[in-house]
Amino acid sequence: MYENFKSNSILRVSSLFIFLLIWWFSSFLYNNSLLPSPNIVFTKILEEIDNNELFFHTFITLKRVFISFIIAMIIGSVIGTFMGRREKLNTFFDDWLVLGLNVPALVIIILCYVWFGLNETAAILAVSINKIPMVAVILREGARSIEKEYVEVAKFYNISKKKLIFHVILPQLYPYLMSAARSGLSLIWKIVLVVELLGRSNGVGFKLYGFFQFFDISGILAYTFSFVLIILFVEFIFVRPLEKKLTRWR
Amino acid sequence: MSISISIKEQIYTNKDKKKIVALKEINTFIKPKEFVCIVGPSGCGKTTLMNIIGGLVKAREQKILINDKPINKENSIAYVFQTSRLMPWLTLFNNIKLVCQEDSSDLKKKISQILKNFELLDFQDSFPGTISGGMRRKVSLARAFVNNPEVLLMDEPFVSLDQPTTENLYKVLIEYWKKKPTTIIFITHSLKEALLLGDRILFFSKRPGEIILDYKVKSKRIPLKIDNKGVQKEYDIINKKYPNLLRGRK
Repeated sequence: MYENFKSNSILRVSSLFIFLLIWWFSSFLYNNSLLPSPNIVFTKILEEIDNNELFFHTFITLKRVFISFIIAMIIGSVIGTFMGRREKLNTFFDDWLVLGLNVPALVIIILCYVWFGLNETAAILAVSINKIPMVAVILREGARSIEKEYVEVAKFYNISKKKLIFHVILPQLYPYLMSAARSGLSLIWKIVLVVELLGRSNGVGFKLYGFFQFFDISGILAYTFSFVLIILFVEFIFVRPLEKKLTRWR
Repeated sequence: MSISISIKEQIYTNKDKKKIVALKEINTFIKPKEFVCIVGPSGCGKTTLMNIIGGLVKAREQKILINDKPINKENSIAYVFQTSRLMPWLTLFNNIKLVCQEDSSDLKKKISQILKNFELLDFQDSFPGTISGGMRRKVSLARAFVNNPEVLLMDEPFVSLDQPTTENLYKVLIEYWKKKPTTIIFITHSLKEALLLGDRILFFSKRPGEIILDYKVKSKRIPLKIDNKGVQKEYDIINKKYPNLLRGRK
């Protein structure tokens, strides 16, 4: 097991090293202002940390990602689970879900800003609405896969509703919840950036818009990599260990 | 606890919207602490009867009395299914804890005691997927006995196990039943198994099932082996007298 871990770690580190090497080499071939080298981007990151801009805007964006993520996960899970368990409800709302999945994110963002104004509520709402249908679809599949025979055991032994939900239903939904959470996280932060770019005066998206206007590619890459690093940190420190814990019986 | 069963014809509609009569009229009385086996051909309605007694299925007209009172949620009924139906995400300890009604401080002691009685204490933190099939059945027996049920319903609980494992489980079941006597209704396809374990056998006809013979077992349970000579003798006598009994005809 240790050997396996060691060889995987070597593979990951060498993959990262080769990526940096290709980037560095490409920056030599192109104009440095169009594709700045890794060390220029790194210097920009340090600069932005030094003037407190990076932490401030990243924190604002993270806050929006977190709130939208929680809202989308709760509402999407409830809708999806009910649709998966109730056939008539599913038939009724199925087309709504297809509609929700296919309306472009940009349209929802614009509509939310027009209807509710250029404010925080509209921004969070726009991101959540974009994500809810996807969570609902994944959880609908999860709810459909709930084993009837385990629910029968619960019914037969007359176990409480609380035990039924937490010890019989939810453990069967964990893989689907984790899948929805993982895809949700990667999608939401991308949408949050668009939302910020279009109608907020702070956040990573707002900063990227500023860099775009001045063709400051190093700034764009500095914020992008910082944010990707944070998302990877969340994935490796929080999501993966949680997933491992929840599915250790497998 | 005595059980009085009175069920009128049980009809259900299958996937092709065809009406199927699962059971004809069933009337029988089971004495307290009696071990009754139900033997009949496949599809004759044995499991449907169990599900009606256990409350999983509602019959059109039914009267199930336990100690002369209509069956209700207060009655402690346990079910041992054809497969162990243990929650794979819960440890053996937590699988048993799940069906325990009270949440007292003695609960841990009570579960540990029953695991000890069933020689499972060393595996209490294991997950069902990591133990053998025979052991899983043993856990489902322990789970059934943990609440000291008034009635224990067993639907072919030892099907598809090898002979030594099955005989070991007979021993575990009968020993525990003698320690904590309860009324048992046991479904089986094997007449020898019914003669070995039961006090009485209800033979069912082909679908729609009805009781065609109510037979009192004469053989002793010792030794608790399927090739028990007394059982073999009684088996031969029944087969000679009623050659079509196991095909659902008297």
